[in-house]
Amino acid sequence: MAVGLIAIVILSLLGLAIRSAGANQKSSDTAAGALVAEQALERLAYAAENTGAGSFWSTSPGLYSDDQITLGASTFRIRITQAAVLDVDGQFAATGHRLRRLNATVEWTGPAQGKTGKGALRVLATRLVHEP
Amino acid sequence: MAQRHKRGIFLISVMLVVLLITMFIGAAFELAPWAFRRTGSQSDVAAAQQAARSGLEYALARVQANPAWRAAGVRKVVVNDGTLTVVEQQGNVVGLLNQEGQLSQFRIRFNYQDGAGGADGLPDPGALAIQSPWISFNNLPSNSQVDVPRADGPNGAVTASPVIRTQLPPHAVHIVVEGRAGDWLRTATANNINPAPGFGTVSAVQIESTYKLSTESLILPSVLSAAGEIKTRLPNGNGRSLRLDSADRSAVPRIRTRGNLTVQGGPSNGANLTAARAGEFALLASGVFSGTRALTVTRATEGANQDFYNIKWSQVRQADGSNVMPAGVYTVDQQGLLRYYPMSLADYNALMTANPASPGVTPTLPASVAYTHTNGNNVKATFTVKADTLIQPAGLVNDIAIIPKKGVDPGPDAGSGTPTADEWSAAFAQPSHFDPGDQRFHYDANISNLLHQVHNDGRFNWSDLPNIHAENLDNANPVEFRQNGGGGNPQDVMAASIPLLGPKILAFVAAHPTDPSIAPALTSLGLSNGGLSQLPNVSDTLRASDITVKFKPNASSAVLSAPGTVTLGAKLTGDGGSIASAGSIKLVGLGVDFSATSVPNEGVSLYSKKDVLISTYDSDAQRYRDVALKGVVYCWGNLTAVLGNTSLNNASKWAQFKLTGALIAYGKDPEALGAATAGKVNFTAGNVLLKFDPSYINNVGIGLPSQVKLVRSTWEQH
Repeated sequence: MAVGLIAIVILSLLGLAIRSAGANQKSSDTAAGALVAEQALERLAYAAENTGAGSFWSTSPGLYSDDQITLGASTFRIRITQAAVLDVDGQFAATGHRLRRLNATVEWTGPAQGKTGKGALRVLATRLVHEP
Repeated sequence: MAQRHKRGIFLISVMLVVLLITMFIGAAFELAPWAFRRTGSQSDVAAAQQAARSGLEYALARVQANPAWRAAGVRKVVVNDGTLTVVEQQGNVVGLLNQEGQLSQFRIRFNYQDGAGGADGLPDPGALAIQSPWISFNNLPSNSQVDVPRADGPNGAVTASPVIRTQLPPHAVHIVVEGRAGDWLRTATANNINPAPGFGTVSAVQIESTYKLSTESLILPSVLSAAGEIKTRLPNGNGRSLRLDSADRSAVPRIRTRGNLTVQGGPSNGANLTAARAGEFALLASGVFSGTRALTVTRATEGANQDFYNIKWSQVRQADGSNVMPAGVYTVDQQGLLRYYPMSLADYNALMTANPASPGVTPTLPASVAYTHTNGNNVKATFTVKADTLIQPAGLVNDIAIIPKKGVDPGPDAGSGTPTADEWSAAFAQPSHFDPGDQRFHYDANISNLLHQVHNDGRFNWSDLPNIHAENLDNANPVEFRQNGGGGNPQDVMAASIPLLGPKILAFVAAHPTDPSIAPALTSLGLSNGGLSQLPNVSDTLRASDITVKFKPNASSAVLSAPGTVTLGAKLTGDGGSIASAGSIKLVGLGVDFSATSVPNEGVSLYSKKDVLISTYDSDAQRYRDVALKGVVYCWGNLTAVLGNTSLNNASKWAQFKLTGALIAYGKDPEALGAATAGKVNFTAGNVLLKFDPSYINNVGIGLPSQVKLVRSTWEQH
């Protein structure tokens, strides 16, 4: 009786531990994805603010880039879209004063990449960038 | 005994196992919720960080568009596109970012939240109040260092004696953005963009950053800036010079021009360009200086792309319409009788030349303008401007003139510069040229001759003016404009097309400045001497020297705003006055002694979208009168100051031009792209004293170009 009880408790504990470990793993994965998204946005924002009237400011709103990078055992797909931000006074429409919004979507899927839990993981990030 | 021993060991083992299990369970319960929560918390922190950066980008974009921006003003939804909402109110900014339902927020506060009348000059921001102790401060327009306080008072207020967070140098902006994220933001909307967080964790990140103006964004201070050539004609003799000075000992008295700088006259063996302290004139590398400079004045190189002080029309204080005065011509006669003619000055001249007894009407002046006069043989008349006064168009007339009934004698050479395209057009569209009998515009031989020359030069043809046929353009007969299509009232239809004529004539005049057809046409069109002249047919003894226009504001200042040209055939005096004209400003009379106020956001004494003409010829005394101006004098066109004439051999009859503040002939609309088309400055005076006083520049917040470049000097995230 006591041995059975102990076995049940141990198994329950093991399940909880595994689930906790899974959550930890998801947390780590999400943090990694967020870091990837943040780095992608930062890299683009830096380029947009330091290349003047370079390629970024001459592109049309919509999908700006669609790349894949491998970080450790994971391959992340990073899509960045950009959209013009317009104000009521039209100030942001003028060249030299433009403001744009960057949206990054980072996704990574597949058991081969060692994901625990179910389904794909997806992280979103957004930020504004002003014309230098 | 052995059985009891076994039971004891088993009991101890079970107790140990239970203890271990209890520890494991405790640890698991401690860890599991944190692990489950951590995913969300980490993404909230990342979102808060991006929100803070977004807020910084938003603020930088706003500052670049308007270097004086600090989100002042009543509540305004600046952006609201469904994914981004930004609201500004009295110095505080709150933005809400929504990415597929994931919400984050940024907040910036310039407001001290110390109530109306506090040190920030802003009323409290109401629902956009922010409890954060971090204050942002825009010091870009200022030349002085400021202390940025911490908000340590009750409810996030800055106290009367606050802790100083940082000292912000001149021409810098300190921006602190708070980024926040979390599920509690679900209740936020454009109407409730700054909700109080409910129960739970608020992920927040602060970014604190300071930006300075890049070197190329700084305006090189100058007392005189001209897009075109600067010419100064002085009488010959010792003690005559174009002299530079500065009210601020740390500021170099400087002239800047993209044209040549010429100073004629003055001492035969000495400098005619002098400075009270080390001064400077900046010319393009190709610019030519003609004159003799003192050793204290050095030459510098002007950058072709360096901006001058850039004052937009919208930055100049305007009358709000509480007091309106109809446009037209106001005359005073030798009895002190004030009359009003609802027409342009050129039409008045034509009317009084044809019918000197035309009586005009008695005007009703607004409460902001008082008219008084003395009686007797030598009448002196005074217009006192006591408050803001808006000149209101009267029909097609936008100009205002206050002159003696006999007109004004601007003296030799006044207004000898060529008219602008608009002035040419307006002169051709004058109603006096229109004959209601045959419904045509008629032009005399002088004007027709000019039109023939412009036509022969290939710059003007019959088909160039829509709905107008120009009769006799290719023969020697006087030219007539008749309506050719368009329907409606012929005079109005043709007047709408005539503005296309001005640029063609201006181009011809620029290409052939000495063509003999120009001067007679200027006279016939009433454009010679700036359109000013005495009327020989009118017998009246009152002169411009008998009229004074005096600004004596009831409050700190009074502005006269006009949609067209302001012509004052009178002496202009007063403190705290300002004239803002969408046309030219012509001051012709017994001198000028006029000061702008020195309170913040005011400091412009004269602002003209076209030219400024100052001529102080006293025809009775056959001499000129002094000019003393304080404040910023700004024109989009040319500035001409005629306070002397080479035909007057006695140099003592030349007068002095003295300016304290800054003078800018920008040469074009400061908001327009492209090169300047004007911007010449011509002084003819006994002495020209230019004293730089940057306080007037600071007061109107114009020490910056229209577009600034910022360089980050500090950045911190906490």
